[in-house]
Amino acid sequence: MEQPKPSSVSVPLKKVKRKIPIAPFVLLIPWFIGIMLFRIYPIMMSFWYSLRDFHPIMGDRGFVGLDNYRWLLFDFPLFWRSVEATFRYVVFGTPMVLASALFIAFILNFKLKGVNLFRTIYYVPSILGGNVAVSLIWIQLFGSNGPVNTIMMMMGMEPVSWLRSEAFAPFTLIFLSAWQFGSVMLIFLAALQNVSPSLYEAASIDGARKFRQFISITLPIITPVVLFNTVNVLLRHFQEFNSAFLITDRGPNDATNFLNILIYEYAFRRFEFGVASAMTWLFLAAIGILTLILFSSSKHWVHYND
Amino acid sequence: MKKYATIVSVLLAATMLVSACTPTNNAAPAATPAAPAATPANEPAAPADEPGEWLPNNGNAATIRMSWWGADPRHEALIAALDLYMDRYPHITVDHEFGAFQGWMDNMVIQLAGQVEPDIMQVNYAWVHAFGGGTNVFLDLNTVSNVLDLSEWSPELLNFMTTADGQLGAVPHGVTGRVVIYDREMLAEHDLSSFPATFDEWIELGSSVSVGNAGLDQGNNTYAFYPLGPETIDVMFLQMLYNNTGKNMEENGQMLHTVEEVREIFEIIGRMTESGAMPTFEQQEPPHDATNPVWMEGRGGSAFEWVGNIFLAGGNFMENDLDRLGIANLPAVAPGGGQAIMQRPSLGHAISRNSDYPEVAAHLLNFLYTDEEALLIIAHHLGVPFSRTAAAIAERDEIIQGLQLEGVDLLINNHGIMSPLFEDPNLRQPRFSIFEAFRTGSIDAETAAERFLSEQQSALDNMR
Repeated sequence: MEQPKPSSVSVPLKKVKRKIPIAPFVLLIPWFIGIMLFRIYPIMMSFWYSLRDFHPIMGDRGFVGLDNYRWLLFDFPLFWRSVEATFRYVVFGTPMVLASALFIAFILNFKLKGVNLFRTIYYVPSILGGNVAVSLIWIQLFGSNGPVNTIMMMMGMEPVSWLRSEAFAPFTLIFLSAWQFGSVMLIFLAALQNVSPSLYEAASIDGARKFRQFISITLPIITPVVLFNTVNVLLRHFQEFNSAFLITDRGPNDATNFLNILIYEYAFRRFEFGVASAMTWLFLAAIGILTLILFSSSKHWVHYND
Repeated sequence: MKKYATIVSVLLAATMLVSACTPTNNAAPAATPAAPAATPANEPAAPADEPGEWLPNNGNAATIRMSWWGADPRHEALIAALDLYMDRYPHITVDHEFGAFQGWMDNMVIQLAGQVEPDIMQVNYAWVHAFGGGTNVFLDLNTVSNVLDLSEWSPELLNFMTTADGQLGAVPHGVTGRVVIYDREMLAEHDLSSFPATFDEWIELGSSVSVGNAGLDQGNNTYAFYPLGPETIDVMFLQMLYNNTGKNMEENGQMLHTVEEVREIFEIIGRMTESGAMPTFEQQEPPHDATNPVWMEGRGGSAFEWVGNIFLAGGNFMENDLDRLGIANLPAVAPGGGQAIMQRPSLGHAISRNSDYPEVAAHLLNFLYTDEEALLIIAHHLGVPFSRTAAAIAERDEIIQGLQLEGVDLLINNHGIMSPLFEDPNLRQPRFSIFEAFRTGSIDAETAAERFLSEQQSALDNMR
């Protein structure tokens, strides 16, 4: 049977252009308005504020150029103490969350009895978030007379001031963050379950033990997920606010005075929107650079199947 | 217990007290309140106790909002008073929002920045001056004086709520200051019949009270003094500094003390800690309020609290064992030294300048300050009232009594020092940091004193 010839009549270009559907764009309008109004506009405004002496109630008091930035970088030691506190939290907290989440995910990946129950139990803390109730629990747990110190004393160790000591207070908050690893763990678990069992079988035949299999097979395969989780946890740690505000009240001696809290203080307690906005932009630049470094380095350690 | 003084004497002394106060800065209240402004649109006004003669908003329906911070008894009292108002004026609806003091200022700043603040706001003395840096950010209450009877307050009291631009930002409810609430049993156990009169005596008492204390409070430590929050040490420090030198902290934007004078106070605070009279920074764990277990279990010895908070602190002490508590002034720094008390309007009420119904808001305020039934409902839950009608009813019905009245007596009978700058966040936050650094041992008394003067001066310079 003869196939019909394709039509030799070409469709005019103008007609094709007219066929671009409008409906999807119309449907996107609410999203577009939302993102412009609640994301882009505030971000742009904060940059404008950062160049001005802006009072939250009294309004604009004039253009100051880069004075807010200069003051923060060269004349405001508390800013640098806050940067130090934030980076300490990020540098210690991020690996701790990733390591504990991966470790638990690895264990929960085995076919154990009641594994689903354990997965739920480990996920529950991350649902709680950083609210007041969790903070009160943490204050009780890590108080001088709390269960943590009691256990330490039973083990013959000296009690520690977890909440009021400059050395320990940041770690009390890091432990809270590490305890709430549920979401990260679930993502790791999903990645681990995608690793083909045949690879482990082949490795076993070659005599590789479990640890060797984990290092040489599991880790390289899940590195894209490790990168994803690292970026997420890193950003979450940079943005930490609640725990330091509610549990340690920024102290002692600004050891937990994270940048987000300092920004909040200058915006709403010192009435310096300009300074607070400048801090936000410096903070954004620092996070941006770090994320960029992380992504640039990923070509050396992240292995994609394709 | 002392026979309670009459409110008439309270009022007389209030005038005396505020006259003795020394506002010292550019943002301080003007000498006299501005003259009442032109009559607003909704007239005529009539006293609130004659509701039939004048209806708020000319009898048309209106909804306004009122906000306040406080504890449950205050919430319950104010809600009941607002219900009473709405019963009296059914065409007016008053919505309310309330919460704890913690974070309330931040909440208000955000509302004011977005111009979505409630029509009536409970405000702190310092906020009236600090929010606008001397410019009033609320409605000038002189503009609604035909509805809000300003003669309820003495000119001196109104003066404290008047900003540098001559506007009346709020009306004050009363005057407050901090006094020592102490455990009588602690004194009896250490053979003392009265609270220590000097810091040396207090430190000596503390040395024996704290014998056997552990380095970290494991639930058994006892102290002669337990600060219930960072503000406690701040006010105590400034009061000690004034009493020891007779000088205000600043005048015309210049710090007045020398390093030696400030260092001496830091050294006394240091001795208080070393002797065990008060906890070290590490021993003093959250919560930093009257619900702290050390205070609740009767291990704190004494606290330094606002007169208006006496019942709140006392109610938490040993399950409301008020008979065990006594009231005293802060000990003198040196024998025979000054005993002035830092005082301030306890709280005030302001009206939003963005309010759609400023006269209705003023009418409600007038009702809360003058209506007998409302005042009996509110009782002492806003503190000790210093306005005319409220004070007279408080006197007649013996609303202010016991420990609170003893506290008021102390306020009245001692010289008062007052400045809106005491609680200005731009000055206060650096002080908190310095106290913390000193108490954790990061800096010594000399460095603390130097930092105190330089950082406070720098904050004052930035405020100009």
